[in-house]
Amino acid sequence: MAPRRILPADLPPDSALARRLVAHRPTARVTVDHDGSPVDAVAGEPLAVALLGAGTLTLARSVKYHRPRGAMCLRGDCDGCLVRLDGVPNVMACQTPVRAGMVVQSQNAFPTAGLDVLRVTDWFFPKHLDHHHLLVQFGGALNRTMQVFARRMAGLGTLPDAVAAFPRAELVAVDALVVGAGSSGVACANAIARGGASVLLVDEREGPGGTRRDDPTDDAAYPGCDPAVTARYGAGAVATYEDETLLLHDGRGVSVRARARVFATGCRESVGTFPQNDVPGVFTARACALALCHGVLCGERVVVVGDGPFARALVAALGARVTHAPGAAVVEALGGRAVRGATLREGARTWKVKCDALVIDGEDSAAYELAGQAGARVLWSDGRRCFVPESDADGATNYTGVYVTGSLRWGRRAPDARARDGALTGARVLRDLEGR
Amino acid sequence: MTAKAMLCRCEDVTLDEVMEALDAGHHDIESVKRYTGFGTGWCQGKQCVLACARLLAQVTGRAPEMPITPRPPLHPVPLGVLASLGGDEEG
Repeated sequence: MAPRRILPADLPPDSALARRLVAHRPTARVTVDHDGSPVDAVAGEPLAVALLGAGTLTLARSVKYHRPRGAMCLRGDCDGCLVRLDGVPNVMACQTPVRAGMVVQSQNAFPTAGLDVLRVTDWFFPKHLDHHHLLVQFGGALNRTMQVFARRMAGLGTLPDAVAAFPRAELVAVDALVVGAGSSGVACANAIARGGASVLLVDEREGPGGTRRDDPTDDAAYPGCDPAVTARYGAGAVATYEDETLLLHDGRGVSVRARARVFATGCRESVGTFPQNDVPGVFTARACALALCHGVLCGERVVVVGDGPFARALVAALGARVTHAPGAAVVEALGGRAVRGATLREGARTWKVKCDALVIDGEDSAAYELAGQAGARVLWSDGRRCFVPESDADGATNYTGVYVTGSLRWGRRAPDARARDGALTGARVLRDLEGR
Repeated sequence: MTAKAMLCRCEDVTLDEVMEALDAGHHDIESVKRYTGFGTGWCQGKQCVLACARLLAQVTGRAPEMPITPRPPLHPVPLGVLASLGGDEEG
């Protein structure tokens, strides 16, 4: 009972997922080393997906209680899949494409991620261990001893094997930078380029499509970029400052100065706060869908909770292979080292299900952080129950030269609606560039 | 029993711990962060800031107007990358 790879032959031949898997049939099978064991993988797929495909759920231990940790979001939004990779600590396996010969080690585990003796802290402190306030209660020698102990135990990962050399950052200047190559980002970049301004479009993913890349029922072609748009993929924006945006592209820093910056960063997913929500095998619906698009099924007995777009896509793609509870909420997940079931509730009814993958399509939220760093005002939205950058009708924020567009602004909408919003924001950027 | 509900999984901050902070009188997101340390870990608040805001809305009846200040970087970046930015002045 574990996640595993599926083959197009396992699926109905007329399904979009089968067509996707055939279209993206892996060309390069490679081997990576995980804690001394060889793992078959596909070059270019996310390392965390490859490890899941090999049946590995637990990759690390948590910082304080040494609870098991595994991939949860597969989007770089959680701590679940941090590994030591080729001697470098704290690498997000979900954001790292597989290369042949990678050496992957579990971290923060004594002795192994599967069995960790420091888990006793979790048993000793069943509610929680308030180390912030615990330490200040003791004086003198005891306090000093506690401090030494705490310093040894604290932190995540250990120092790299070698000192790495980093090439000097590349400097780029453009009229407009668009962050996020989903439906809205591509449409926005196209609108700006067709107006004659120089545009750099960046995305941390390996190509355009955004949310659509992770929908197993969507095998239509993504709208292309205008030839005048410079697109960089595998290039994530990691920080924005007043007049500079920092990208990480193939491990190298790129500093972009742009007169206009558009954030088309979309939405985040989460599973919600319930007992045992951190146990390996609890996934967001998007994570499960993303893995499936790479041919990896995140469990043998999959329970899908919620009725969002990814839950519906999973049910459409997998049919009777999954149990769907569209109107239910999770009361608690069951299982110690990995999920083995859940208690669900709907109205007055409460019931237990057995599963080895608990997949939740909960409320999504705006990925506002980069726009906020750039200076946009971010406010609570009662309607969406999350924080959203404030913007006018076109997507201009209160901060000159900073724009937001697409799902970030409106929540999940159909791809063509997101593209229309992107084009609207792009036209506004052009007007503002000409006016300034 | 170890049925902890993790509000902030990066720093192992439980729902129970955050409820204790609320009981101690911390009703704004910034104070709860300082009291419990949630939002200070690997993900820099991408999961837990929202979880805490939704909890505050539910418990106190009022959501925070703004999140804790989103500061760069979005997720941890090797120091070598930041150093490689140099600066125009130094050439």
